[in-house]
Amino acid sequence: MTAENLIEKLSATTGIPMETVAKTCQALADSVAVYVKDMDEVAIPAFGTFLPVKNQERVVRDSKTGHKTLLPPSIEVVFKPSVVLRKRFVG
Amino acid sequence: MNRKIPLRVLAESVAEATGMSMDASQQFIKDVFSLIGDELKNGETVDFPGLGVFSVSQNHDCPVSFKAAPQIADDLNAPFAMFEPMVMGENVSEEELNAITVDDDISTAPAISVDAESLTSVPEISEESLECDIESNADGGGTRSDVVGIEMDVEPEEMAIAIEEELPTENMLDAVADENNEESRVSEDSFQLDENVQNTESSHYIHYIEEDDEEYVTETEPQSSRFWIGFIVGLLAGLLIGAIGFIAVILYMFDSAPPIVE
Repeated sequence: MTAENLIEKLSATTGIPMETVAKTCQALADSVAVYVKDMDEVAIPAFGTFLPVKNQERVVRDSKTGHKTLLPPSIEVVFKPSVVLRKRFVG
Repeated sequence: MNRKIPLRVLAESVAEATGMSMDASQQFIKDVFSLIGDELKNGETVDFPGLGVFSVSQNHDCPVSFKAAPQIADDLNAPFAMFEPMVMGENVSEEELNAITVDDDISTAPAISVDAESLTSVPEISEESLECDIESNADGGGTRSDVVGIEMDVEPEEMAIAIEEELPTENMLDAVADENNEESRVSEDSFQLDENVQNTESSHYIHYIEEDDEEYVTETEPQSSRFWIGFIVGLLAGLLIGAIGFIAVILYMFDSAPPIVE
């Protein structure tokens, strides 16, 4: 499902105009990004948690060539699904 | 940092950005993620604009995988943007990398050898001070390598240039001024003079900081005077309460006394 399809479906579900839905989705994404940049976790009930995780610098080895590469530190956003969402997939 | 943002706080920030009401914003967020959950349940991959892509994975413990949008990933990793992956040499092991320590000890640093060519390229040396030092070396007959601590394999003329390189310009001027009064001195005196100047400056600076009183510090009364003030105030308060009680008792006794019947 692309972003346009998601906005169309949300507009149809909530009855809100598509432009407003697109604007609100962008505001929601921006808000989540702001909190994640501050290294805060954002918890959505019945869906999951967005949490930033810092990876320290490390050495990885290419199994084919055998070359070792030193990777710099990085921060990535990890999504941890809630129990409710996991049960929906199991059930 | 390291806080857990609940839905209410997230809805507040969305409501501020869009002008929606708090309840409408909260309901919208619930609807959005409920729809995403439904689509994921149907096996769809959902692209949330500006946030990232949700997809279904075969991992039972974590059935949903998420990849953040490039904009968010770039902003998050902006502090590490100057680093790039580096391919290491084949013979370098992790133990060797961990064993590398930065040695700041000056005594273990290798000896510095001074090249004669580099010494001849020293700029801005006055001719008078140069002659003064050449004469001092010729009279003294010794080298200054033991004083400066630098290995020198140069001629006396070039050595004089090296001496002048080590000395500050102010000290050179002082040496020229004292030329007529005493034998021209070599660098030990000049170095001591330089150290004295530095010590004087640093002591003056420290002294200035000590004299500068901090505004928020107020002088406090001694502990003993506080005790006596409290003691006297308590004593007076006790006496006052006792006097009031005494008067109250006397008035009660006289008012409640039976009238004298004659």
